[in-house]
Amino acid sequence: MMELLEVKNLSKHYKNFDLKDISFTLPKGYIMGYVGANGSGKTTTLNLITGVLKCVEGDVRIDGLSREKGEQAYKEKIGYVGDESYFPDHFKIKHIRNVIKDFYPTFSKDKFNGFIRKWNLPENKLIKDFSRGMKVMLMFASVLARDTKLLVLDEATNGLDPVMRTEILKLLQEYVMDGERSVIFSTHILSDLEQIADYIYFIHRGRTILYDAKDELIENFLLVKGESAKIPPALKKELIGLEEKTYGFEAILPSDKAELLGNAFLFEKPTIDQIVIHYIKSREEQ
Amino acid sequence: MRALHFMKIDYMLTRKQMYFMPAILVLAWVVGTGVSKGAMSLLVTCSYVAFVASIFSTAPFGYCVRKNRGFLLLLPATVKERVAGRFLYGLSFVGLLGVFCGILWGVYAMMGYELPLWTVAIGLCELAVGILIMALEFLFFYLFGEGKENWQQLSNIVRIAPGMAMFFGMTYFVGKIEEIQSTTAGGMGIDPEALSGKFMQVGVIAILAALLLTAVAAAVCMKVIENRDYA
Amino acid sequence: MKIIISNQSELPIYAQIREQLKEQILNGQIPEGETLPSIRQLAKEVGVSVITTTRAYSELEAEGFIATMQGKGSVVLPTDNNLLREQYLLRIEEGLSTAIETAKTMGMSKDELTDIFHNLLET
Repeated sequence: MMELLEVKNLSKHYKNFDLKDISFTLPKGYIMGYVGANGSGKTTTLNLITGVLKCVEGDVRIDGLSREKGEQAYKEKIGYVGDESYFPDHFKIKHIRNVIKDFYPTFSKDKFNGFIRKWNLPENKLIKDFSRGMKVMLMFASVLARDTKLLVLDEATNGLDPVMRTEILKLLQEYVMDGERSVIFSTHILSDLEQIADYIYFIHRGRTILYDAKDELIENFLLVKGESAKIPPALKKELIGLEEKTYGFEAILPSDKAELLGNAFLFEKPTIDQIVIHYIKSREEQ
Repeated sequence: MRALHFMKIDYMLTRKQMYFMPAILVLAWVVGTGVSKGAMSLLVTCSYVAFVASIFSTAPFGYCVRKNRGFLLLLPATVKERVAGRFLYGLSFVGLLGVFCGILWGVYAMMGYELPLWTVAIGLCELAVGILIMALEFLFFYLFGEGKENWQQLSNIVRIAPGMAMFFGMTYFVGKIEEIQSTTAGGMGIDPEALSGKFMQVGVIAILAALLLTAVAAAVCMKVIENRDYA
Repeated sequence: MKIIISNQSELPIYAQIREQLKEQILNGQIPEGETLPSIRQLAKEVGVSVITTTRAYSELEAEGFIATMQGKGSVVLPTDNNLLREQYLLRIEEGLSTAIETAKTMGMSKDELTDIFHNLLET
């Protein structure tokens, strides 16, 4: 069993929004970035995975287990960190420790207390009085203090200072270190998280746009720049998300179409962000 | 077992109100003695306590607005267990207040007050009605409002109105009791004392019926919530 | 052993890791027989993805610089002289080609170019 997370034809219908046919697999020991603009369906997907939303269409398996087969075991495998605190506002750390101890057999109090000390989280404050950073670290402490298989992070590093972001990156890489556990994180800004992601899944308006190993994605595309007037029709057909500015254009081109470029244009290795931006642009135009 | 753990969570969520509950119980006793004496005052006190129970037993719903609930939804347990935990909280909370009334009753008996059995039966009926109101409120909250914000006013009416109606009804009843007693006793020739055994049966049956209806309400809530998102 | 990743570089990250390790193996900074950190260890230290590091290692293996043994990790192989020579030759050719390319663009003659070459050799 090499796949830790299997998502098959996941769909969810709302009045103004559809999530349609999301399918991917994430092998054990790897990290996936689930990327898209705000409102593209990232949170919906992750909530379907954690089971907070009811999964009616499609199938999700974690470590081979579906939620229907064993709700408790399924949920025990997941560690979830959200973009804002999901703890009851009026709880203190002791209450959270108490609840986790009751519900999760693998919870280690020592580990948990270790994180609380390490990150200087206040024992006697109400959670609603925590800073944003403290809330995020408390979520991490509550999740990492027990034995999970899949970390699900929904925009968890938004608005954190660079020191904390770096700390979290290290945490995630340590988490997958033994090659048995995986991470899926959603984000609309890639930057530092991009570095450690093995796979990128990119959705827009509930539809799949790109899904591949990150290194492949970067190699499969070129960022092309030059004078708009000089673009031959054959090339124009292949350019993705052509953005014409006053002094020239910028677009993405599949690497296998590089021979169309000739000598007239500048091309370079794109970042994932650049691929994403031009893909969104090309979708908007359709 | 996990249902009990959910019940514990509700007690942790509402721990603040437990701190001032003793004061409220004292107030209930003061209200009772203000309206009447002896067994009658106990009936008023008990109806006040049932009123309090019907308000405060729904408190966990208020603490469970959307953004605070994620943690609870992620816990490895089924919807059934979570809903059962909430109902156990409600029942145990009403039960605890019922125990307080029982103790008060005992204290009055030891102090030599005359406590006819039929008043005890009415006390039990009050407890049963308290449980029933709690169950109906839970049903309402689960079906129409769990997790919703911005419905404070409606939820407050739902929390307060039924218990309040019972309390004022009881106060009115106690005020009229002698009149009623004389009409029933004189008019129909019934001796209340002779019927005491029957009264007790009525009290016990009322409680059992309330528990049964609570179980039905819980089952309905489970069924509904199982098919709901964020629940 | 040190690895410095540049985001400005035109080289993909896996190639940067591969080249820097190769360099250090060739100049002896990483001696033969030394065990390299595990793929996941290195990925974490450098802060890049596991797939990227895996690719760097497997290319180094394909080129004969390291051997990966089950349970023992990746070990630096003896750099035999031929391999070493080949690598240096490759690099010399690359450098010269760039120079020739540049000379061609400005239309420099063959003689002029060889003159520069000889002059530089003397200095």
